[in-house]
Amino acid sequence: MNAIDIHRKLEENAGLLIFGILFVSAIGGLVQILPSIFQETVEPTAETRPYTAAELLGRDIYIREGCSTCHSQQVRPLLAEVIRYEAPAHAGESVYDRPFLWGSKRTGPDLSRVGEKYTDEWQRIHLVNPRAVVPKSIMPAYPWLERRKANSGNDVHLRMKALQRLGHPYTDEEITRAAADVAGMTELDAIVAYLQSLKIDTSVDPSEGGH
Amino acid sequence: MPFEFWSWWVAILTLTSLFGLGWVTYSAYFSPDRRAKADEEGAQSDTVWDQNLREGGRPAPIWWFWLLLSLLVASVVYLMLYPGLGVFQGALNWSSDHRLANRLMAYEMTFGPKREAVLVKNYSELQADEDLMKIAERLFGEHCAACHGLDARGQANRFPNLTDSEWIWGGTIGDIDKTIREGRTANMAGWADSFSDDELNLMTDLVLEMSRGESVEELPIKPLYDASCAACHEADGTGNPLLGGPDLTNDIHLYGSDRASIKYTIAQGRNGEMPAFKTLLDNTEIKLLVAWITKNRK
Repeated sequence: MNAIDIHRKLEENAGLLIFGILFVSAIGGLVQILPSIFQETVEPTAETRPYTAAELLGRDIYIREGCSTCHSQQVRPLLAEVIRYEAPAHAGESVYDRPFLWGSKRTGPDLSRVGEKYTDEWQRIHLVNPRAVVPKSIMPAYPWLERRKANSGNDVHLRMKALQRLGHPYTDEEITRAAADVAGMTELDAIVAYLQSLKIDTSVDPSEGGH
Repeated sequence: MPFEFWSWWVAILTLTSLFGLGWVTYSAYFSPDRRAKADEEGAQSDTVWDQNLREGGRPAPIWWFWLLLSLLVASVVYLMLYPGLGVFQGALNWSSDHRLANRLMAYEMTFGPKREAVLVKNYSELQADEDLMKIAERLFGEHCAACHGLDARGQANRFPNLTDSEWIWGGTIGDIDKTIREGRTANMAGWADSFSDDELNLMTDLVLEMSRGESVEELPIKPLYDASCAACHEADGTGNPLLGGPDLTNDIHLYGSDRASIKYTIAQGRNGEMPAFKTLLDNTEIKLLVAWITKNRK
């Protein structure tokens, strides 16, 4: 028996060939994907918490406006990035991100540690017209955020309920009062709340692995 | 299933695949059957399709074999040196965390002493050093310019000009250092509920008079100013840097110098915030920034 004989058999038997192809192409998945499904789950870091109702709405607006097309949310363990953005990203920081927004391209800066770097007022001015504070900015303006109500679909509690079902530790009380929490908020308020929540988790030792 | 199981799972599948690939490659070139065929002129495979179609039977060029072999060897060498086979860390014990830690250490060794050197110099020495001032300018561009502008002249009628003579929270080196380190929060109350519209207009007139440097002592609204505004802005309007009450006796008004802006400020109040930078910047960086800012102002 050698490879040529096997090859001949496969060539003459389509069913066997299909099975063979499936088997060979499954090997990569068996090595890469299967073990990670069965391994212990990633635990949130000490300071990682589920998003509040306002932050959650802001995050959905961030997704809707395609912010992650130009902004990443992952600090890689490289010297230059750590000097600029502080500690590298940790898997535990992303457990409440569904879907995660790590992104793969930086036309603008990384935003995973942008929280509290600027004041709310700066963020508002900048989102409505980036050129007002950064004259050379190429970021688009988002003036409609100021005019639209964040919870106009009146569904923030449903979004939280869906996440609760997926395992986010929202209490029923938090979900019940969610609509009241964001009453009157504009989309601008919500996305600023979200951006200000993106903070470095100081409880993680940067020399410790996990990213 | 336990961690060890998956570790072995990965290692065994990986090695079996490598072995299998090696065997297929070798066999395709060097099985006795194959070699006999390769020597024949016009060799054909034994398989016949549709009664008379036969496939050519020559093996692939030999350099493909060497290419595949070298890739297999490289894979094995890689898996011996670097992590890949389950929990086996590889002979080099390489990890991205180790690499980062080493580079950070090298970075610290290069720049640590330079940072220390900045801390022992006094401000005028720093300001005389052109290279350090260039570094300070870049620091300003990275951390401060988003609000105060690249030229430090302030922006958007919200963020103060740092090149003029007015310093709401005080302009000494100590004040500026504290402002950067701790941040500042300014709250001016809105007076729309307490003042009538007439009073708002008269008060706006008073502020405009003050900013022209004219005396306001005789104005009928002055007693109301003394009662409501003097606590932060002082009776003579020169302001109180301890409370962040701006000087009203010049024509610098952060939120706009026109009549409408000033009236709005009096009626609705203003909230200003400078974030604290003590966790973002180290002592050296703050010192360089203070030196640069005080060098560039009037």
